[in-house]
Amino acid sequence: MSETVHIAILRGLSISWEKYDWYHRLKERRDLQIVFVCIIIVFVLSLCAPLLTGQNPNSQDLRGKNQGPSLDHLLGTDYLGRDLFARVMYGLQTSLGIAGTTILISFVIGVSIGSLSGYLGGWVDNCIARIIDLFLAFPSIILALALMLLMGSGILNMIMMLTIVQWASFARLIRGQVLSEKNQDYVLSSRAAGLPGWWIVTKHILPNCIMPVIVLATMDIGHTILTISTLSFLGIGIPPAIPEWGSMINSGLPYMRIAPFNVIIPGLMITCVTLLFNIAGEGLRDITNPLADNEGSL
Amino acid sequence: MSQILRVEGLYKTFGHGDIFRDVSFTLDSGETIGLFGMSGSGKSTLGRCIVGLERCTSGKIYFEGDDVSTVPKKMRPLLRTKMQMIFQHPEISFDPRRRLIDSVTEPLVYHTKQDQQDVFRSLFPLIEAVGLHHQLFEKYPGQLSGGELQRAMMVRIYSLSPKLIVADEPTSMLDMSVQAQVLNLMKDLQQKNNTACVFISHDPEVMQIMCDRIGIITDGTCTLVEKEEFDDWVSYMGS
Amino acid sequence: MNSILEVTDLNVSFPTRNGVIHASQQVSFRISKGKSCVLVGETGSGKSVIGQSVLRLLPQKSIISGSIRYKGLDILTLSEEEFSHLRGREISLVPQNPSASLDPLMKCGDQIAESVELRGVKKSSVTEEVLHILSNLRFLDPVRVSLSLPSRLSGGMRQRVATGIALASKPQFLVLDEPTKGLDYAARTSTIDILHHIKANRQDTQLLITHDLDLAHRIGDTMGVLYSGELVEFGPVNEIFSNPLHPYTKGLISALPRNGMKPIPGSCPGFLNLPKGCYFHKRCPHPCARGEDVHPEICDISEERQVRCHRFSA
Repeated sequence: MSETVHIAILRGLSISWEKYDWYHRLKERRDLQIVFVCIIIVFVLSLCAPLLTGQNPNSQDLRGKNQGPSLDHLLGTDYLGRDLFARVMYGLQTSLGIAGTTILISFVIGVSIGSLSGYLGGWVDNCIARIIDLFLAFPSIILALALMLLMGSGILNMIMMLTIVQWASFARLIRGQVLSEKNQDYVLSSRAAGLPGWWIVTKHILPNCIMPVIVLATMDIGHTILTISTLSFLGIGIPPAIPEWGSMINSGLPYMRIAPFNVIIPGLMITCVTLLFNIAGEGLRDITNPLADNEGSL
Repeated sequence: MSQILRVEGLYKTFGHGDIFRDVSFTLDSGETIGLFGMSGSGKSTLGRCIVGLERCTSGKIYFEGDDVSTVPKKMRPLLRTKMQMIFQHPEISFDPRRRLIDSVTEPLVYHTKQDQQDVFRSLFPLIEAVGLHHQLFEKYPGQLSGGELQRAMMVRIYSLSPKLIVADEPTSMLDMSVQAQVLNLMKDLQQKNNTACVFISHDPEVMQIMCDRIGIITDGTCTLVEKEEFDDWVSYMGS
Repeated sequence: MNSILEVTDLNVSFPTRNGVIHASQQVSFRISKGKSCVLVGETGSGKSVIGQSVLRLLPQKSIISGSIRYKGLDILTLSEEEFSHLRGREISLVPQNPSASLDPLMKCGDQIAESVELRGVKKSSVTEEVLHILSNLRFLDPVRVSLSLPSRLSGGMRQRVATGIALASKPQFLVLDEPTKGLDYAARTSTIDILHHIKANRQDTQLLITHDLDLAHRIGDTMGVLYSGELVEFGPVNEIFSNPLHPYTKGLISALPRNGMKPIPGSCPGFLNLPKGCYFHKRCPHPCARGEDVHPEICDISEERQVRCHRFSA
């Protein structure tokens, strides 16, 4: 590659954090603009659920059960006569709330442990790495199942259990990044200048290698929503009173023939939101990584 | 002329073999000793061991008369600032996502707890001495050329008033005329500040200009020669 | 006209967010059959861009004008398909940074074999041909090198393997892009030796792009000095080294450690916001009044020598 290209790449690497560069890359990607706007809409919706529907998602009306769409009930009702639209909106709140909290907590825990391990090296790193491997070795659903059966159901328990399942993948990723970054000349230079370890890690190493972990986190929000839904679908996790898409599918299945919306709508919502977050994650990576070759995943 | 550095019997082994064996030499203030060897000869590792970025398997390093391993933990950061290193790849010598002004003032800001702007202003004479303009420091490392980055690195290093500088092939990635600029500048600053220097390189012509004595590293051993002997050795190797 | 390559008024620019980069401006030179032309320049001189233009490996966004005639044919007007018959066969590249241009997971011998097979050599003779090429590159143990992965070889050896890949297609025109960059002294010396050996034994025409003056002196027949995208001096290598005319050329030669390592003050203006007058004016040891506003044109000093400097223009 010519020096011109080299210089341009280095320039990109060092100033990709300036809004200027993000903004320009985002400007060129109409598909990502749409995706990010959708994500904002989704977040706003989840906060405003009570405002969007006058119906109470939990009020039962056994005479009006399994109805199709009507003026009163935009998407119809479920097997207990509860408004489907309201339940879907409140369900979004539940799913996104749990997933978001889980990812945030496991991100903090995973990054802290992983970066500490990577920077310290030696036997400390060996021990922690083996612990991370152990957690990663269990298939997440099985681990989640086992933990739920142990701890019982409930939102708080679910968050705790999902965090236990999730933190290790962040830890592994950041550890790998830190291991390679800590041998870079600018880190050595900081050490030679007498700067302490914690300063170097927080001010230099982490900011330079956190992006892939943030991208993983965005993609994992979608994955976590799926896990919650799967667990609810299997009947464990969220108490049935709280609207949640997975449990809605579960309870709507027996009535699939007469009231298919009760299964299709929640299923569609899970798919859409997961897809949205996955694409957003990849898009975030493309925007912040000037070396990405991706022409556009959409 | 006081003795800044004395290394005795430095060994570093790595798994199956030695990277270097039984390296010993002394260095006075203002003096430059060269470490000459080809790629993979272990000279960079030796340089990092001297500065304290890597540990030797055995051997002693005395800085200004004191054994560095016996220095109490509290004094270690301060000791570190007295021994600085300049690296081969200028584009990665600075944190790529911080402006130069942050990187250059950082050590002093940490050690003296002063305000960044005050520290930067105190560095103006040094910035002028290296031939840069202080406005350049608002930029990111990726926006500067190799020569400018090495000069900015000298501002950072000399801001700490080091007694010893280890230069690990500082100009091997630079163009000829830029190399001439940077090396002349290094010599100048070194003379003005009476700094001792360990100069690591694989280019014998540069060694002949920069160094007073030269340690030739081959097969892990370090043989000290005077400048004139080095000239003969190079002509012999060239034939 | 015995020229294999004739570059006329080559202009290459890249539009960027910060403005247009004029990486190459009105560059013209020619290379006669069997001769080596060296383009010498530092980072920011635009020399690599010229090499890439000849091989049509420039990024899509670049704007090119001018002509590059290979054996009389303007290769800039050819379609990609037409040119692909020439690239890698008649026109070959030895890229810079062999560590990045060699496939790390493929044995060196196989990588050279790929190039040999392109020529249409019978499968049974390929291995023999590969070993022949490796021994011509002065490898003492061609078999071991052929079976090794690039990571097992030193920098200098990798450079030789990359050269082997380029030579395997028996090219008539060879472009060498910074063959000694990043190599240590010993590897550099041996690479220069090899290239000299190759040049002596082959009749191909070469375009060598480098910032290494020793390499230029040893290998080149004619030499062009580039500064900020322009040719500032051109002529036979020995003449330029014994009697450099342009102050930048003189500065480059004096900057060599063996010549006293005298620095050229200031720095290269880069490609954006180029000055109105002479690009070298601010750094020139003998600045002239004209140089401040008037941009010097390149002019012929003799039949073979050209210089872009007001002091030499009539």
